[in-house]
Amino acid sequence: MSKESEFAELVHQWYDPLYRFAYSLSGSRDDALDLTQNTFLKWARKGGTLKKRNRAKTWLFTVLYRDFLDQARRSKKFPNIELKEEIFPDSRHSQPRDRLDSRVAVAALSELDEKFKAPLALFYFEHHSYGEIAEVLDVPIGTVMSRIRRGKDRLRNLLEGRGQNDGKVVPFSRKQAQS
Amino acid sequence: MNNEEARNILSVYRPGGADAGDPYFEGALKQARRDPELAQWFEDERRFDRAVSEALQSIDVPAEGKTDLLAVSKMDSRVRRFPQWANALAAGIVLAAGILFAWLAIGERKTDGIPVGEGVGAFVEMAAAAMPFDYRAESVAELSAWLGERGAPVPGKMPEGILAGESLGCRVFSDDAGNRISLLCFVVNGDFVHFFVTEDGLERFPQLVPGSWEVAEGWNTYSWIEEGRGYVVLSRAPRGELETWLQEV
Repeated sequence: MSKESEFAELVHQWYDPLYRFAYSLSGSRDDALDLTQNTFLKWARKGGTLKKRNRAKTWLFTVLYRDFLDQARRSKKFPNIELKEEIFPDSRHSQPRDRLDSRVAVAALSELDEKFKAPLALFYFEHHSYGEIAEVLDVPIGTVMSRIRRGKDRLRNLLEGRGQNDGKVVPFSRKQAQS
Repeated sequence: MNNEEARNILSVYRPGGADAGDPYFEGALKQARRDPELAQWFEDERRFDRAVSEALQSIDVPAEGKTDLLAVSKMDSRVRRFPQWANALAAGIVLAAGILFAWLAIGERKTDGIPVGEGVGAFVEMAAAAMPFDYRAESVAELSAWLGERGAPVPGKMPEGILAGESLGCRVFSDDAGNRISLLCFVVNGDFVHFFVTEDGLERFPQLVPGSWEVAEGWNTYSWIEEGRGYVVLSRAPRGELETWLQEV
């Protein structure tokens, strides 16, 4: 396979998942576009030297995640600010309890501590095993699982809390689910 | 294993995940099948996970980014069909130039404002923000029509050497005063060429000397004024080649 067709195949296979991962981290369309583009361009420059082709997925996600961290450190800008005004729909338009709008999910993620965002996003996208998530995040598997547990608790509380405090969507109340 | 321990394990269980069959989950799954209270908790947890997962997987993905990447990839292939680029070394250089261009164009920043600068640096900065294009077309006529419809500067007579290349797309930059600059992008003999057009000459860029060559950050640049319009060309192609492409200017 030529380098061009290999590159195109990678783009077809992983562009969408990488963009969604980037968007779930940054909460910004432009930042997600930049992060995803930069990741593939780095692949074009460096990734082609990988000996094991089946490691491309982990390589791409790792590079994107590290770029996101670098960008966040540099800019000190966490784009959930740009999302806050438009994300949480009015309760008059509330959604079914077992469905969640992607914007609401991303907005909720964006309010979590940085250390929970990426593990949760990778957990929910289901492209990676725990071993691969640990590799992408460069932390032990046990830490990944612990962060997912704590992140999920916060995510659920956040979604429930919004409903109680703001009269907005309450998609996942355990009490409601059990009633 | 008590229910609290089982909950801890099941909270990171993904039925569709790569680890679903891992023995780590086995005992907790068995316990959830035996214990109605745990089973109810697990069902609720799964419902939450499914909803979040589906929401994140439904994030809209803009087509433009993927299209840009694939365009760069295709451009590299097209370039190799030119006889003068047929040898591997040249192709490698073109690939590197393409990647460098794309890196500069896509990777650094996005702006649609005219940068503050009196010289060629402003154009280098705009070239770095060329992608994603506002509009893509494979003919200059189409690009010009699109620009014209939006009141953006439209090129007059284009140099034949540039027209011989492939047009990729265009982008419009503007400043607070409403001044606009159009950027048309081409691949000519395997090199990217940025072709800027202003409607009011180059007075806003007093450091540019029309009719002269300049090198900035590796870009060969040439500017001129014709029929009131200002033109600035940037390319990493060798100056000799650019001179050939612009010979009637």
